Amino acid sequence: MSDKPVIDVKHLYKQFGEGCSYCRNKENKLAGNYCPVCSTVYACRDISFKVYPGEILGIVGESGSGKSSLMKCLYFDLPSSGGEVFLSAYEKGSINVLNESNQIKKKLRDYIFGMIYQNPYDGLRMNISSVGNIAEKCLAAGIMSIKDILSISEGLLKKVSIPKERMREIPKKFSGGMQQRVQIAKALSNNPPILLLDEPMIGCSVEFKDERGVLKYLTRKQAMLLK
Amino acid sequence: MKDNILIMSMQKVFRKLLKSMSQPGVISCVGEAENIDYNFNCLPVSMLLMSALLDAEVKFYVESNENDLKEQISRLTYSTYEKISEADYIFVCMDNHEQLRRIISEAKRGTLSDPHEGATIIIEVENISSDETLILTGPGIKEKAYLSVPLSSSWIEARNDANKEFPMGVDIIFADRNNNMAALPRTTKIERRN
Amino acid sequence: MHDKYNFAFFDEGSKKEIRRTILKAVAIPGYQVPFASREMPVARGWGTGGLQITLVCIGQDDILKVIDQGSDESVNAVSIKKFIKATTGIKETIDTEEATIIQSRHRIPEEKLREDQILVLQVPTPEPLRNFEPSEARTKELHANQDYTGAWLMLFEQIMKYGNISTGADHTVRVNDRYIAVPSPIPKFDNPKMDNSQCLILLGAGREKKIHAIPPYTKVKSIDFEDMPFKVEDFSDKVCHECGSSGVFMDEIINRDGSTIYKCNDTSFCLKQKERGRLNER
Repeated sequence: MSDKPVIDVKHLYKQFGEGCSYCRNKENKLAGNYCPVCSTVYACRDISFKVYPGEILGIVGESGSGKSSLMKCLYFDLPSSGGEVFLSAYEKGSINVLNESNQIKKKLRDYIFGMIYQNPYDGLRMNISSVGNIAEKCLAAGIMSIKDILSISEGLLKKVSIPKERMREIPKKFSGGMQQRVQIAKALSNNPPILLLDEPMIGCSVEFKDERGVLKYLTRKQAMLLK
Repeated sequence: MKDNILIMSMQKVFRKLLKSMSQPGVISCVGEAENIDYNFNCLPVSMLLMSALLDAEVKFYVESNENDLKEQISRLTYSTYEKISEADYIFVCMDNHEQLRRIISEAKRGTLSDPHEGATIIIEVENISSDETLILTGPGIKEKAYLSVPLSSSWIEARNDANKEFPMGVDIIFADRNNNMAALPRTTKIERRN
Repeated sequence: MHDKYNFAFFDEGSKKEIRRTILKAVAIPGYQVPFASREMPVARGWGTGGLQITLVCIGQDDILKVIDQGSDESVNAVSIKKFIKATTGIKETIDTEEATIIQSRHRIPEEKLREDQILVLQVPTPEPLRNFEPSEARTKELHANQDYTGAWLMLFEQIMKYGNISTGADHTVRVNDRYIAVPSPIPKFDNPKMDNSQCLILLGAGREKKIHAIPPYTKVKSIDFEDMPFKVEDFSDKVCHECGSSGVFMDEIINRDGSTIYKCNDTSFCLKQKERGRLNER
C-alpha cells in the first residue's frame, strides 16, 4: 500500500526512423508497427505499466511485436526514443532514468537490474570461467573481496544445480541449459530488485518446464519482467 | 638563424616545458630565447614554443593586438588559424588579458574518449614568480608548490570550470618577458592564498 | 657523425608530433595518447616506442643509459645505444646515478631515480584490458567511463587458476586514482618504484602507437583485492653471490651440479656494489 512500484514505466516508446506529424500523433493508426506516411518503425509505442515488489509481469505478443525492444530499452541496451521510467531503488523513484548519464545507467545495470538473455552468448563471457562470469557482476556491484565473491558465486551455482567441480570451467563447454543456469546465477548475484527475462527458457525444456522455475530463486522483494 | 642552432633550441625548449608540465610550479628559464633573432610580435618564449610544437597537423588561435601575428605564425609553422573552440593551441598575448576568461571558457576540452584533444593555452604575462599567491597540489608536485602570475584571478575560476570533468580539460603554459616558463596541466589543483 | 641524419634521426615534423603527444600524456597521467608511429631502423616490437620518446627528449647535454632486462650489455640495449649515439653524439653510461635519460625494457633500476632524470620504458602492449576486450573501440569506451571491472576480473581468473596473484610481470596499475594502465612488462617487484617516484616516467608503444606517462609524485597503485593485497617477490633472504646484496631483484642461476645461486638482475648496480665491497676491504 505504501509500497512504491519497483519499476514505473510511462509512455515509453522506441522508434526507428525520424517520425512525422502523422505518426507522432498517438491517435493515428499505424500499418502494423510502421507509419504508412513516413515508414518509421515503432518497436514500442506508448507503453505504460507498474510492477510492485514480488510481482511478475509477463509480456506477451507476436513475434516482432516489440517485446525484445522493450526489454532492451529497460536494460539500456538500446536508447529509448521517449517516455519515462522510474525505479524506486534509484532516488526513490523521483527521476526519469532514461535521461540520466551513461555513468548512471551503467550503475543501474550493475546494482538494480538482473538480465537473462534468450541467447546465453549475449549474457555470458564464454571464455571466462563460470564463477568468473558471476564474479564480474559482483565486482561491478562493488564487491571487492575474493572470499565474498566466491561465497556468493558458490551459493548461487549450487542453487541452480551446477556442481562445484565445474565452476572453474568456461560456459562454452556446457550444454545450453547449463549455460542458461549460469546466466540465472549471474543475474541474481547482485541481488537485484528487478529481474528481466528475455525468453530465456527456449532450449531448456529439460531442466525447467517453463520460466516459473526461476521463481523459486527470487525473494518477495524482487520483481520480475518476463517475456 | 642557423638551422642547427634552432633545432637544438627547440629540443631544449621542449625539455624545459616537459619539466614544467611534469612538475607544476617549477619555473624554467628559457635562455635559448636570448639567442634567437626574430621579429615576431609576441614574446620570444612564445615564438620558441610555436616553433617547437606547431605544424600543419594542428590548429592555433591567437589573441593579439598585432594584426599580422597570425600570418607570421602560419608562415613559420604551416599551422592553420582557427576559431577558439577548434584550436589545439591558443596564444594569449600580453595586453589581451581581459579576453582570458572568455577564451578559457570557449577553448576545447576534449571528450571522455579523447581527453588529449583538450586545448593547450599559452598565456603571456609580465612576470612569473614563486611567490605564494597560488598554492598548487596534485600529480607532479611533492606536497605543495607555489606560483604567482600578475593576472586578476578571474582566469582561475574559468580554468577550474573548464577542468571540472577530468580527464577533459585544458592545459596552461605561462611565458614571461624574462624568458621564464611555467605550466599548469589540468590535473593541478589551484588554491588562492589567504 | 650525425651529418647523415638530422639530430636524433627524426625530421622536425616527426619530433613535434611526439612532443605534443608526450605533453598531453603528462597532463593526463596513465591515459594512452595516440600518435603516428614513425618508421625506424629497428623492428617493431623491439622498443621503437621507447626509442621515439628518447630521441625526441634527448639533447646534447644528456647522458644516456640503456638497459634490457637489467643488463646494459644485452644485444638489444647495445644496438639501441649505438643508434642513438650515431644520430646524436651524446655521451653514454652504465652508471644509473650518472645518467639523465634511462631507456629500459623489463626493469626499473635498483638505484632510486631523481627529479632530474627521465625513465623511458618500452611497452609491447599498452592496453591493460586487451585480453578482456579485443576491440580498440570498446576499450576506449571502457577507459572513458572508468568501466574497469574487466581488469579485476582478469586478476580474479588468475587467482582461480593459480590460487593466488601470479602475475610475474606487467601487473596492472591504477594511476592517479583514474586510469588503469600497464606498467610495461617490469616484474611486480618494480611496481612500487612507480608510486610517488621522483623521476618522470614515459612509456612508449611503437607498434600500438601509444604513449602514456606517470609524472613524479603521482599515486600508482597495483590492483588487488581487499582480502588478497598486492605483494612483491621477497628477495630479502637471497644473497647475490657476486656482490653480497639482498632485497633486490635477482636472477636465479642453476649450476651444473644442481645448486642454486642468485645474482643481481641489475648488472650495473651489482658492479657498483662489488666495487664498494672491494674498496671497503682495503
